[in-house]
Amino acid sequence: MSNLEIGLAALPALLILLALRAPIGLALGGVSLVGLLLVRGPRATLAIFGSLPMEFGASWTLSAVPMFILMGAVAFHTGLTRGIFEAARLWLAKLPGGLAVASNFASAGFAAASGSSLATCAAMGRIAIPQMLKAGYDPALASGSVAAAGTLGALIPPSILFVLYGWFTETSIAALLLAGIVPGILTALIYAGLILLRCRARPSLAPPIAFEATMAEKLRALADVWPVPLLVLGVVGSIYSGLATATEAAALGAAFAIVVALARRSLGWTALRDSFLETLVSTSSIFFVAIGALLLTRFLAFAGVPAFIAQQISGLGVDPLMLIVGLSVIYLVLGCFLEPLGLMLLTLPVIYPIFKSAGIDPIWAGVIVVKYLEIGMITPPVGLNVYVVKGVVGDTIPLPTIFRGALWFLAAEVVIMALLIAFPAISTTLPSILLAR
Amino acid sequence: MSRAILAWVPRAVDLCNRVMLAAAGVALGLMMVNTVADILGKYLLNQPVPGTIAIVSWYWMVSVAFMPVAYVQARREHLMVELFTMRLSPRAKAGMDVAVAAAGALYMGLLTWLVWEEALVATRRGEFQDITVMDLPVWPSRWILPAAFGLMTAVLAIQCVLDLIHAVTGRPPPTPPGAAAPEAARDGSHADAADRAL
Repeated sequence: MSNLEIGLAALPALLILLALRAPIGLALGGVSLVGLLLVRGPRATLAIFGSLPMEFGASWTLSAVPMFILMGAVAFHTGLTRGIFEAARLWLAKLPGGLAVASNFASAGFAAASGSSLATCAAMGRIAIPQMLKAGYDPALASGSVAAAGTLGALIPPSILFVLYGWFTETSIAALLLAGIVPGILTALIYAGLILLRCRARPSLAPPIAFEATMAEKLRALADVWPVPLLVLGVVGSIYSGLATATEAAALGAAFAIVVALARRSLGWTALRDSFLETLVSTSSIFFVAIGALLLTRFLAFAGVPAFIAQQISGLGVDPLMLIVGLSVIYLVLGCFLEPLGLMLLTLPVIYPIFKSAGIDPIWAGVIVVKYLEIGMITPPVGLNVYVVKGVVGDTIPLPTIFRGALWFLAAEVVIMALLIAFPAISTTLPSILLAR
Repeated sequence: MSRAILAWVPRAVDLCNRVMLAAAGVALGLMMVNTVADILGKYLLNQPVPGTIAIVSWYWMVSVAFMPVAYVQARREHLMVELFTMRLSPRAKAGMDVAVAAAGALYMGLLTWLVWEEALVATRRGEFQDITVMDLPVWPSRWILPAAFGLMTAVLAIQCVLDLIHAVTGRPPPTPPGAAAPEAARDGSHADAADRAL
């Protein structure tokens, strides 16, 4: 077998190992080990495996990963994010489908503290879905809107996906985090517009609720959640102004979440321990997968796979736009059985070199890739967000109903993706201001 | 004899896991404090904390990223694909996991040996980073990796044996290996997708 054949054979081998319940990090490492031994021989291989974990782990830049996770975990475990839905409900309930619109924007707010789409879904599902059902909302609308709004988690900063994407592609993480803001807000607005239109056209979906909130109540609800917007503005603002790097902003965000929790007297020993435990488990499992992905990147490069694929693609005369659209197929298929982070780390070693050779803007491509990853979370048959919502609602709503509800948002995603692909400026304007300084 | 080993070894490994986890937790707190102190010092006192980047990356990051790997494996929380096998019986899954754990133990064992050699070399030459005010020795942090990976090798080996017993006898092990910690058991119940901070 030529080196190239070994490299190409590794990809199906990897998928088989994954199907057989091998942890992703082990599967990536194992395949790379065998592959590198065949391609480069034992000396070079052992040297790579011995030095790479430390090279990767001893990273100042990547300390943003545990710090952002800690920030979200503290905000969640100390109840900082608990009042978001209540506040959104008081302000928006009078609109057609008001509770669904409220849960949509509450998800955006939650996402701004936590950066995880599954956590966003689970938290909002628990709070918002029972209230919508009680108000007589259509179950598909109630559950589907929560599953879909969960996808905002990875776009609105902080976003672990962007931090890792930036590291792997040597793209400015600060720029990527800023690039996600407008697409994230755009997505939230289009989702809200969809809910409004549907509920206006068919009022039976969301019976209007008799409900009056005084301005005092509304303001009190806002006062309860003020630290969340402040947290976001602090993180984004310090990055945007150039006062702090993404890494520094992450540590500031974590510290600020802890200080706020202390001030609100909600930081007990249990909350602190749970936040730390969650951060350590998540960080460590991310790094374990990331090291595997990095090993795979080295192996594939030695085997000449990226160059080969790039050559094939340029031989076919595929233009960058086709490439980006075609990519959606790969992500939607693989997104059926992998969660976004694993999927991104798994595909970047192959896909990023293609971007590079096609001259695609890595910031724009990052936004598109993250969007694809998140759309995979609500696509049948195995959108993970839908399963999380199902786990939260139990037997009250059947799975196909949730998927049916999410389907409307998939239709909205077609519009959103068309906009993002047709107008890269939606993603690149904010970061270009930063990079121009 | 073998039964005593079966009971005693997992308990020792579990203890090691908890020590590593606690150390990683301390490093996580220090990472935040160190970074924030550096920023505040830089802007308020015009005096950043010397060597912040080197210390955060070489000590706090390496601890946070690697020390919990064995604990994560003990809780079987490393990211994996369950879709294709979720309808199998627990016993059939245990059978598959025997092979995965055995291969995993071999792989992690090899990795442990390699990073051990790296640590040895770094220690002999007294590896350091120049942080202007002083030379910061960084060779000690090299030993975090063999410790963490070695522990994960042990966890995988234990899981391999327990899964084998499960697959052969059809009886699941009384307690999941290494998950005997009370907080682990409690967290395990809600450590599903919801608490994955991603």
